[in-house]
Amino acid sequence: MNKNQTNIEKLESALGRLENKESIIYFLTYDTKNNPRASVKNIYDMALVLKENGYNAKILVEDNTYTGVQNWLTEEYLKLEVVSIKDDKIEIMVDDVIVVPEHYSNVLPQLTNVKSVKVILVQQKDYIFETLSIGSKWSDYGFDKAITTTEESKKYILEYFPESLVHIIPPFIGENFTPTENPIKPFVAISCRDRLIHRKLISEFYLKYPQLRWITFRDMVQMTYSEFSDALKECMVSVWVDDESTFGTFPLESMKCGVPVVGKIPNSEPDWMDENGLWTYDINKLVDILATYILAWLEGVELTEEVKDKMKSTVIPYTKENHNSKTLSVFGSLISIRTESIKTALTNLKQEETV
Amino acid sequence: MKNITILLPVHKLDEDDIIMLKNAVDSVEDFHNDVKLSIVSPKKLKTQLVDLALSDKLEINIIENTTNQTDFTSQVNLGIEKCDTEWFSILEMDDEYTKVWLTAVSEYAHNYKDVDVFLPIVKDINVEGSFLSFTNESVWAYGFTETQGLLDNEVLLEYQNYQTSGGLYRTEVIKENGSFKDNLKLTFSYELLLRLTHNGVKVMGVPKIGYQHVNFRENSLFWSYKNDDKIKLDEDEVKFWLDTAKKEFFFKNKREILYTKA
Repeated sequence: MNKNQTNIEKLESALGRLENKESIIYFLTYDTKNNPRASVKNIYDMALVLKENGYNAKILVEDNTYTGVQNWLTEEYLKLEVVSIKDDKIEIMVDDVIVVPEHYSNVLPQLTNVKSVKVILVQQKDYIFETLSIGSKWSDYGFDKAITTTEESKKYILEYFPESLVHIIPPFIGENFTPTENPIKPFVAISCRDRLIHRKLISEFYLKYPQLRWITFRDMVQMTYSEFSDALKECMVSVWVDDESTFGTFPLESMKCGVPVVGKIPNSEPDWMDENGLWTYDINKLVDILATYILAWLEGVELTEEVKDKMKSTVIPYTKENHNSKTLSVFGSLISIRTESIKTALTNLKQEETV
Repeated sequence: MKNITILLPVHKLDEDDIIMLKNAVDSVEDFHNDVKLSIVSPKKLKTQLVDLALSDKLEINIIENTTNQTDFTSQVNLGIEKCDTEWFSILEMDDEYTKVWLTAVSEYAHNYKDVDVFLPIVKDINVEGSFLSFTNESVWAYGFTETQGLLDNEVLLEYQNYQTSGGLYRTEVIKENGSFKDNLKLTFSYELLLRLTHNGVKVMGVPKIGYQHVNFRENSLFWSYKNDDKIKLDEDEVKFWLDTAKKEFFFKNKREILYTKA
């Protein structure tokens, strides 16, 4: 059998797998070591909706020491098959898709010769260059497609990787985030990327407002997804400091629970940011804003209807339905383009054979 | 139907008292659709109280105290005895409810059916109206009580500073467990809370500033305990009444107490 015939057979087989949805969509995922992470949940959400719609989506991890998500996500996510690069010796085919998160840019050189559809997933744009070789581009390794979560991030990507085809799939805010029907408690949900800032804010607050030392700060870590939403919804206010955030899941989850947010505006302003929270560029003002809000709350001052409406309307686009339909549409399009290119290549090879 | 009675004990009515009384009654006016006001006063003050025409919105009932005991606790106890609503609250003449009081305590009473006493956060101010501190807030401090938000007997044995005025009480439960003991000086409200929590009555904090209390107003009962030579309590006596409260809460009714200096 000559080389052309071998290639024809390979392409026909790939085409068959694509048509039967046997081609694999790999989502490279890092191990959170049992710590809940919105970015990893978003990966699992994309994989899950694809699997539920007949695609062969799998979670790809480094090795079998991967701890998984069973301790913080619900059972439905465990339907997803997890395969490891080292232990399962996987072979990524031309009809497969591999999605690599931005902070895994160091593996791109190893994937240069992989012929599958190659997609970079950008959830934290500040991480793009963390492990990418200086001066190199994703396309140097055949990654010419990107998925990100916001318009702002898409603009940024196109500025530095103009050759990329960039899709936006915003994460969704789960239906478990609803306002509580019980009285709100004097708790503050706090989410800071930097633990030093977390401690500093609480200490400053208690020292500057000793009459409020009885207010509880709820550290929103080490909780399952449902514990997290239950804990969040009974708080009177949230505090959010995450300069590196691109999307900002936590404040949206708060808003969906009807919990107002006191927050520092991140380095890149999320698309949804508006007069829907108590935002500041100056981190030194956070404690005073928080105390003012709490004292007003204790006196029974309610948020204005305008702010409440803004909070509600902010989260409207981030539904599971929108996320799912966007995910299916983007991956459907990636697969369809790949199907067409395989068909074209096959036709060309067959013509060469005839000649 | 109005299911809350506000008990407002009055034992004298001089010029300053009248101003304070009017302010106190004004703070209840916003709640006129949901509460009725019972002013408990010595018989001799009834005409004067009627003449004051304190409110045209509120349903006001004047309970005449025909006994010789017209101190704060006796007046409140009489009010409780005559109370025919599901709930009652106590308003001191020199204090005020805040606008949020009714909404806040009603929301908690509606949601926590197994709780019989709700204590709002009290804002303590001085006579000039400046903020001094909060009271009752500590039940919400993390790790302070066994269940965050609920006052318990163990904590009370260590910390005495809770304010019963402004609280919302289920009338039947207080009648069953007994009201204030009028022979306890200084610690009558502390003893009541100890007794209630000891008897398994749930006492919950409402995390809203529902009541404003003037601390150590001249001639007020607690000011007198500190400054009036006639009834001033020294350190030993303060300790005695605290210790007595910790012994007496096991009993529903008052018992004879004899204070002797050590």
